[in-house]
Amino acid sequence: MKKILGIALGIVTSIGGFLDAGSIATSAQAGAAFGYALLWAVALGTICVIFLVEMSGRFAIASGHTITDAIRKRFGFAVLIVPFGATMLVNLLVLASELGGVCVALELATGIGFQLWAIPVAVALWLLLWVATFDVVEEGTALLGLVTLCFVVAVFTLGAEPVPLARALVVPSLPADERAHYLFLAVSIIGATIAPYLFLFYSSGAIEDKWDKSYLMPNRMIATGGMLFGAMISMAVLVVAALTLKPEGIRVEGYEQAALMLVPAFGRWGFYLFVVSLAVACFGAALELSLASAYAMAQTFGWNWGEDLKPRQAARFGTAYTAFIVLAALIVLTGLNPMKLTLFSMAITAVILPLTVVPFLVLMNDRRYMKEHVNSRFSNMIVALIVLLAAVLALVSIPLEIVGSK
Amino acid sequence: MSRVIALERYVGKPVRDVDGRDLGHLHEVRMREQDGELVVIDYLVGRVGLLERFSLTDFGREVGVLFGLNRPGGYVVPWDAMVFGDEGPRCTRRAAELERFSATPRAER
Amino acid sequence: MSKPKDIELVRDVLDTQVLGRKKRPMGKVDGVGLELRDGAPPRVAYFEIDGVTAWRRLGERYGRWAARVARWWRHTEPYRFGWSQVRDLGIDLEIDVDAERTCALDLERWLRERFVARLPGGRR
Repeated sequence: MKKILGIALGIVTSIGGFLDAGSIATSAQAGAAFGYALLWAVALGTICVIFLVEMSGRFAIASGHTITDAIRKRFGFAVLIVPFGATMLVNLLVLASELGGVCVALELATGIGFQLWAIPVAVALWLLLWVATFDVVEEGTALLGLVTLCFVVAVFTLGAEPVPLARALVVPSLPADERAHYLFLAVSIIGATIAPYLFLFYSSGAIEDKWDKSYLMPNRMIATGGMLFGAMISMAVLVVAALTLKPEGIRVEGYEQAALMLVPAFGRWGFYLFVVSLAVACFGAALELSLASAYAMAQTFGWNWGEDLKPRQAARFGTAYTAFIVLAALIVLTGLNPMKLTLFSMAITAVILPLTVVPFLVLMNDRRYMKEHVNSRFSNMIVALIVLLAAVLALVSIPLEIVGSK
Repeated sequence: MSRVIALERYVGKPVRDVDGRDLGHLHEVRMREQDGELVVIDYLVGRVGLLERFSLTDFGREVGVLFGLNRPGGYVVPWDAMVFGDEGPRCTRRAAELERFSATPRAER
Repeated sequence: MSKPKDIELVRDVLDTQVLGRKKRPMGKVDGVGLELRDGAPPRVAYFEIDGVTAWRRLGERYGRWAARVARWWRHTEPYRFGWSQVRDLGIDLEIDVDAERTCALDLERWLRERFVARLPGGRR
């Protein structure tokens, strides 16, 4: 019984926590510019992330290690430093994106410029991690994040036709023009869906909660259910943007345009629903990202780490997330367009994804760590293919996007 | 006469035999407990593979193993056949005199 | 609790998490000191926990940079322990040492005094 409740909670918190600045920004832009056409990218990213998250949990259960710890033990410091350094850099950019998302939401609600919100939001974020127990914080923000289900409600309210939707999910297509931007968005969507911090964080959580073999099935259910239903919200954002923004020719250059998308479905309240969704989703993601980055440092260098450790007990760990939040706030303060920052950091995520996934796949096939729970050839292939595809597309499309936007 | 070396700085370094022939990279040190101390039995040196020749980083080498570009396998160097100098580890015997083995570094054997 | 008699250094010990008494994390095995002897097989003189040692494995100049940075928190020596202090070797390496009393936690202590204690809620 307790396990069933645990599974339900796991799925619900994954759903509430799925949306973040990356998925909102990429889905909104994609829907407004290309209609349903990019749904296949969300589908592809979702399939891959379901596999990766399930593998991440199974790895923790079978080996007793977190992924980062195991990469160091299996490959050595010199090998780990490559994905570690890359992930840290990208995490910083993504954290700045999430912070930017919260700040823009506050700007939309109050009219006060987003840069002025950078420091108060960063302080609030930091304070929550510094003094609160993480379980409460994580579950709290994830449950609040369920407000993002409003996008799914909007899909029904707007009467979306299921057949063209289903077709776009399964059949990739290339538009007649703006191909470079289309590919860039496809890559950003995949990067937004398969964030490395997500499955690295998941393995840390599994170790902390001391998951044993009896959690193999719950893990599979939480990974599949949580990611699947969470992705539906991401798709809903895209569909709503396609139905409300595209016909009006509204391109999403910033969150301000995206904020209009719920108005046809909910009237004036639609604007506020969007603002609240953006704020809550990004804040929750920022919390998770700050912790995930501190975990990565602690597990790379062997420090004390844990959700509920008081700063006094884990000074390096606490300093690490503090430093991250400070640096991210500085980036927001520079006034960089938060949506542009978000899109680029998602695309860069796709580029560095192989650096973490390749060692992870090696570990998933190493009997010394996995015992009898090694990966099937199918899992290996699916993940390897999607990740490699994303990386190649990213390397091609990012320069084209930079050139195109000049 | 004895001296202490920082073994971690020799792990992963290329090893040559007494004739100067490339044996591969030093990737394992097998040890046994004797009188409460850990002593070396032998060293495992990996055969030079395709990627090694282009002297890629450690990360690249591991990726190569994953894709089968670096076929695992190598030499067993007994404890009394290895010297550690400033240039790196060096085997004092000929490749042909050494026992062979087949396995990937750090993985299940 | 198991302390094996046959081990493979790189696979089993190097880069493994080290835990002190009460499972307190102390760091990773960043280095191994091997004593080369005439007429006898080399023996492990010590295992070493030190961020500087880890960085030095990437190259001499990384080591020098790391050593310079480590001096900010007055860390000048690596922490070393011997095989006799090892209690268990498995997923992690457990040693019979009080972690707080060692120089392995120099940075932890420094940050605790200089930074954490000065912030609200840091003294709890």
